Amino acid sequence: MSTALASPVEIIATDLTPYLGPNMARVAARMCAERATGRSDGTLTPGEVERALGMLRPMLRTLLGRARTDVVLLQLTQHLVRP
Amino acid sequence: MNQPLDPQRGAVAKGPAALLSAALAVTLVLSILEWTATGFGRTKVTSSVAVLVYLLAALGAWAGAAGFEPGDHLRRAWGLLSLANVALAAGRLLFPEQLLGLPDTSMVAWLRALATLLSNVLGVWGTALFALTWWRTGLPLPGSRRGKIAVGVLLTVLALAVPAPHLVESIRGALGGDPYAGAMAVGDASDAAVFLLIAPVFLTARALWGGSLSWPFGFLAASCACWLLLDASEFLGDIPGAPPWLAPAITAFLRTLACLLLAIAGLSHRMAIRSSASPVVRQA
Repeated sequence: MSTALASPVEIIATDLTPYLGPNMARVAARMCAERATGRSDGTLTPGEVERALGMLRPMLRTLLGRARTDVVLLQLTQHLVRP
Repeated sequence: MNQPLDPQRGAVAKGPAALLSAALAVTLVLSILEWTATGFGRTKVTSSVAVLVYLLAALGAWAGAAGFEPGDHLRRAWGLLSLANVALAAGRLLFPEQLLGLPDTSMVAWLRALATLLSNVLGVWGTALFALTWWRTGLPLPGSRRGKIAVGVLLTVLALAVPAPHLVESIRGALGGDPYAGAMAVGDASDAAVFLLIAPVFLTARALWGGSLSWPFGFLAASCACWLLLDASEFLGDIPGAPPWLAPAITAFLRTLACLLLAIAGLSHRMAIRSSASPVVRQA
């Protein structure tokens, strides 16, 4: 069975859902992509992923603290590199 | 498939519900203890339960703070709420001729006033940090502008209307030279400030709905709402025909519930943070 690969924004939203809930995870993922790329099409190229994750850091640090933010972003990076 | 399977996710969703059930059960047991106590023992039981629940709230908030690193925004917020509840417990212990059997001297009155003042300042400061959390994330609050304004206006009117009569009474007492009345005036003003902060905390919980971080904000907003209802319940005594036991009974229940909701808010935040430390397992 062939399945389409999720886009980076979808992967970010999926990984954030357990903490932020589905609606806010989607908003946060789209917003970090927009801020990182300046585009509003919700896409990320591999080269833009690191910058997009950096945009998430202040929000996650406020809600989860610095130490846990590092863990979440590390997991996200791993998923984005090898989805 | 890019479907994450987090083994902790189910536990995180069940955890806050279990905490809420436990808090409600303990509230009921402690309230029944207070309701059924009679005579002189009633004052002792009420004071003991109050000190116990303030300390439980302090412990729960401390657990929330301990989940963060030094310098984190919400570590400070939880720490302040924990200290506020320690001060509340100290203030309750300083009631003359109750738990500690202290004499009714001006020294005791000043110490009690200081504890009340501290608890209020720390409580407002901590709650304000929670209210500012969403603004710090930089994310937009979901929902229509009209809906958010309606929630804000409703809670603001309640926040200002409920403590106002007490505040006027306390200011009159303070002007008469009673130090405890002065502290109570600060307390009533602090109540109004905390009630004003319910709206942003509630809207934060609603924005995060479906996620584990929604629970601590939801429980905290519910705790503040219980304090609001507790203040409002004191008017029950003024209603003609209302039984004399009704207002104290509701007050006892709401005070215990408010404290235990704060305790589980801290614990649920700790749980939400811990769940983020577990690796997310993905299927190939």
